[in-house]
Amino acid sequence: MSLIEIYNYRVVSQYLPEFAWGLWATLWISFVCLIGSLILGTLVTVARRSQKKWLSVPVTAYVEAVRSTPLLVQLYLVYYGLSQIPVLNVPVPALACGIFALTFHTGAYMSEIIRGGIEAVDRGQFEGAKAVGMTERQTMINIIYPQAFAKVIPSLLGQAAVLVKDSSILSFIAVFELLGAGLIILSDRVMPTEAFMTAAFGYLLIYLMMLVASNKIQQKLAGNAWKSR
Amino acid sequence: MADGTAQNDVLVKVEGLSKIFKTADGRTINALTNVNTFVDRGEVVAIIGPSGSGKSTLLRTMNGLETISEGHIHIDGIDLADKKTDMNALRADVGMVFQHFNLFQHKTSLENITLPQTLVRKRTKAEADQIAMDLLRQLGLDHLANNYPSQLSGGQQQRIAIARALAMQPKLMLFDEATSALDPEMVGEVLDLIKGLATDGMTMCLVTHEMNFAREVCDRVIFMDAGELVETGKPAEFFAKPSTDRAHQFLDKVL
Ligand SMILES: Nc1ncnc2c1ncn2[C@@H]1O[C@H](COP(=O)(O)OP(=O)(O)OP(=O)(O)O)[C@@H](O)[C@H]1O
Ligand SMILES: [Mg+2]
Repeated sequence: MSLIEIYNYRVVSQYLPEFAWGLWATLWISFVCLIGSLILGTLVTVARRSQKKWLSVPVTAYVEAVRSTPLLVQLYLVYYGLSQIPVLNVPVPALACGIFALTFHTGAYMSEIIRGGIEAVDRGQFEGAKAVGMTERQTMINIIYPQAFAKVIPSLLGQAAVLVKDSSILSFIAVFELLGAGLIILSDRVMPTEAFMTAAFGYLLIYLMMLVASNKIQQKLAGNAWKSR
Repeated sequence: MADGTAQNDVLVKVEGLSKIFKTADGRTINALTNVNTFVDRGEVVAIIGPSGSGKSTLLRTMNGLETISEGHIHIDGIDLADKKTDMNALRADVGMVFQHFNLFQHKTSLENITLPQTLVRKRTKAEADQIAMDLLRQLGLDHLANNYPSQLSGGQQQRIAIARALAMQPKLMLFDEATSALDPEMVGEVLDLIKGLATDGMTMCLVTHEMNFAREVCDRVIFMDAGELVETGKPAEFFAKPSTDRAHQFLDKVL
């Protein structure tokens, strides 16, 4: 049995433009959602740590709701839900719904990671800052958050990798991305192996790119001597 | 000094101070009970006593790291129990040195000393750098300016932490067992620094287990036990002949 019988690379090569396009779509959608979810996750963490109940309670409910329901359900809720809000008489594009849902979903996980980072910062850092007269806000911005983020970079990168894989779910609402490119082969040629193997290669490729990037980032941080020892 | 005439000299006045902690399981702990004392300007006071006697709590209430349950502390006329008091401004004026240094781990020595100045004292970066470098030179630590805390020995870290507090030009310096976490060979360098501050006339309260240091450097000793201020006096007299049984027993154990 030759390779071409298992995996018809000739057919796949005809669809390379689709795959390249899908790869690009997955990359930029993931990147936008990553930035969005980091910002959202940080804001959520700030709100969760607030003394004000009206702020911390709803935000905690959001995190728990996201973590206890399937991403696909959240995506459908956003996709079908947004089209039913009367003020929005123009339909919201599927892509916008997808990016919103993914950011909303990943933001909850990011906030959990960041919160863990804050808890891992030594209590003495809070006291040292307080004792010189820094306000709560100055302490968080200048002392606690920078250390918290540095502590959780590997976890944030792990969550970013999950985000890339999760973005395949946008195929369910007909947003074109990497998996969508595979689905084209499936519908044109009925070749599931070629369709999904090639898509899988694409995700693997992105993962390897992220691995290189993460090593670069960590090397940079390790150069910052405060992390050593 | 006991009558009203010398009142200008009093920097810290502690009156009827009590501190009650509520633990998570609902118990209450009387960490301080009706403590009355004072610290004169330029005075160096040692606070000693057995573990759990409330030494740290007394020190921490003096710069608002713990709230006051009952009574008053006045520092330079400012009432710490008053809700309207700007506690951040007060803490800027009261330096605190911790057992575990609490240097900002992601900042160099120099940045540790400049950051509070720019954020709290609103000095420019250039002014703060100038003050920090002058201080580091004075303390013979300028070669460590660009090191991170993790690259310093305990003794070096503690001296940088003291420099960080001094850069704020505090009215009062508080030391909570500043040498307890240090390897024995590093205790001397930190004590020498503190001795230098005493010579310069800095007002200081030190919680310490270094009895020889207390005897040598301090003007007065406060002995605490079970949340109460049991006895206070001049070191020479206190160490030679404590007037209470509790102090006697304590000294028997530690000396
Ligand atoms: N945050 C807190 N919550 C509850 N109890 C506390 C807290 N801080 C201190 N205590 C209690 O208050 C009492 C006095 O503690 P404090 O730390 O002031 O003693 P100390 O004299 O400094 O002792 P040590 O020599 O061991 O440092 C102790 O019984 C301690 O357990
Ligand atoms: Mg203590």
